[in-house]
Amino acid sequence: MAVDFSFLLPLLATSFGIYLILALSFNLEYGYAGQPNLGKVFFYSVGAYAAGAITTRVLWALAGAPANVAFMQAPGAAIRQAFARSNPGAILGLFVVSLLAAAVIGAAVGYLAAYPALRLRGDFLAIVLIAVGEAGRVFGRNYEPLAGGVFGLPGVPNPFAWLPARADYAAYAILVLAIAAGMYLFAVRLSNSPFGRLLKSVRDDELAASVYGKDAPRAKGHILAIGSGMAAVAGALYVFYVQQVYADDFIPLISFAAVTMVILGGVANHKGTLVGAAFMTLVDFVTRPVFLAILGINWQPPFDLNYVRYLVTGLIIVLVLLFRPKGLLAEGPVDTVAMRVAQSWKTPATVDEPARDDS
Amino acid sequence: MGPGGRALPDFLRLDDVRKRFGGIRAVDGVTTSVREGELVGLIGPNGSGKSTLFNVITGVYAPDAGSITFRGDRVDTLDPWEIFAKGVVRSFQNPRLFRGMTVIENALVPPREQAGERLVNAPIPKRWEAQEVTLTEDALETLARNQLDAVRLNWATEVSGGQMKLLEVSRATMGRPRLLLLDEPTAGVASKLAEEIFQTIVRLREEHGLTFVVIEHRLEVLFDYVERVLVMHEGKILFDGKPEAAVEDAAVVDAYLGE
Ligand SMILES: Nc1ncnc2c1ncn2[C@@H]1O[C@H](COP(=O)(O)OP(=O)(O)OP(=O)(O)O)[C@@H](O)[C@H]1O
Ligand SMILES: [Mg+2]
Repeated sequence: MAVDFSFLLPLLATSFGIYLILALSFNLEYGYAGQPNLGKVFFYSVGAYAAGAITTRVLWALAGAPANVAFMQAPGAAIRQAFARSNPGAILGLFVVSLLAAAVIGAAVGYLAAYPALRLRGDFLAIVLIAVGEAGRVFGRNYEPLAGGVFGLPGVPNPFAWLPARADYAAYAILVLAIAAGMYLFAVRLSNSPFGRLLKSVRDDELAASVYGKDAPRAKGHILAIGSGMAAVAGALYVFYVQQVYADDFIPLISFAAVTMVILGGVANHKGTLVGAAFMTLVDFVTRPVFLAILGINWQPPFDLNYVRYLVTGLIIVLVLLFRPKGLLAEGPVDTVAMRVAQSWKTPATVDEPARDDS
Repeated sequence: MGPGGRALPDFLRLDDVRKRFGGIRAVDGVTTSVREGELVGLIGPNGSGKSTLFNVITGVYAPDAGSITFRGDRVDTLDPWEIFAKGVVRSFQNPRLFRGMTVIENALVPPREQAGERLVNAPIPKRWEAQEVTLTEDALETLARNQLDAVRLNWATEVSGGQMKLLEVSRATMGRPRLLLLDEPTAGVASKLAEEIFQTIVRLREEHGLTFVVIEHRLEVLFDYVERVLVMHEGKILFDGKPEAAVEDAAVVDAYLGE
């Protein structure tokens, strides 16, 4: 069977872009600020729900909301899809609004959810946030008005639904990559700024940072808001890709995928997130039945292939921590303004440098 | 005396300050004050509560009892960064460097009012770059004065113990303090360099009018520079006066010999 690249490439590219944003957000929080936000999936799901709820409801209203068709079931989804196919402006506009809403709500929830935990030590914070994430999923499952509870909410159109088949996925993949690239540049700028230095000071020694004037809880609140806003954008992008919101997509494995990518690539090294996201995209892909099909292998494994993903993710964390605890790319001296000035600096004669005591 | 002969409020004032750890009374009712521009030595045997006193003044620990005022404002209920904002800066006895940063970056943490530390400015370099360049040049001069220019690009973990100590002190001076509390600034530093650290203290005091409290075990160096020493013993202030008198004081001699 020939591999169909027009199908495969957009799939891999979209997945890579979404994973990259998740990895960048976890790296900012953990790599730079020392806050292991193991509730990443919660903020991801906040963005997913925000995008799904806004897009489906507004489309429903725009499409005339026929009273005899169920909003949450297949016929309702079909009406939304059809409306998006013939109204490019509406769906693109909704996409932009959804993304912005996801970012803002995600950031606000990140700040609030982290608030009681801000004065906790990193490991306690991590545990609190895992619990928050699972609580969020259980809430989403059981609260139908938001996104269909356990049934989920179908009919979130691809923003490019009005393009010919296949072109819509390709266009969307390019858009996701562009957004991920923007996030990458944002993360690099943020971490190379004095704000990044402030984060590192809190990460390395919170007490010393506080004594040197840094409001550590405030800095943690800020970075968790930023990271959560980014994760929420990733969640929104995911929803427009899979075209539905489904509560049980938001399992802790997503948080651990973020951890794996950052630990594998290298903590506090943005280039590492590229490696991590590429790796996770591949693992994700080769552990899906579609991969075997593409290879032309007609084999039903006697187990659920999804478990291979859990296994591989766990195995990678253990192997990396054992053999390369700093990841494939360790934190390097960064290209900050201060480092550049310091590199080219010559001690001027005006600084009366005392005679060196080399003994 | 201030204008009209009214007494100025004390610069730093401690009233019956107490701090205990379990059964240990680390600071046990300290009442004292420091005037603006003074250079005060704080000495005492190991475990007498000197570092704990610094920790309480800088908000690392809240005192169990008593009050601390700095330039007339109560500071004993403030968080460490609020106390720093008022101008109280300290160094640590055991260097607490930022291990994931280079030497120069360590020195750039304390400077005040950095525009680029604000989240809204951080992603827009032109809002903070000029200030950053100036601060970096300042920091590089400070490092050079403390013989750290050769290692300025190294990780903070890659330098020698003595250099860590020098960086610890240099970093504190980058915080533009009004009151600088130095906890054994010369411990582990060659004696020639120890003299230079004290000369830096004298220079900062003369040029910028800083006030210093310096914990120091090297009494032979300390006594050359300070006109007043506080001697602590078992959490209490045992002696407050001129260094020449301290060495004659029977209680002080007892405290040191009784170690
Ligand atoms: N965080 C803490 N927890 C428990 N006990 C402490 C703590 N900090 C200090 N202590 C105790 O308080 C007492 C005073 O300690 P402190 O460090 O203030 O003494 P010091 O005068 O600075 O001594 P040195 O000259 O050895 O540095 C000691 O008995 C010490 O063990
Ligand atoms: Mg001490």
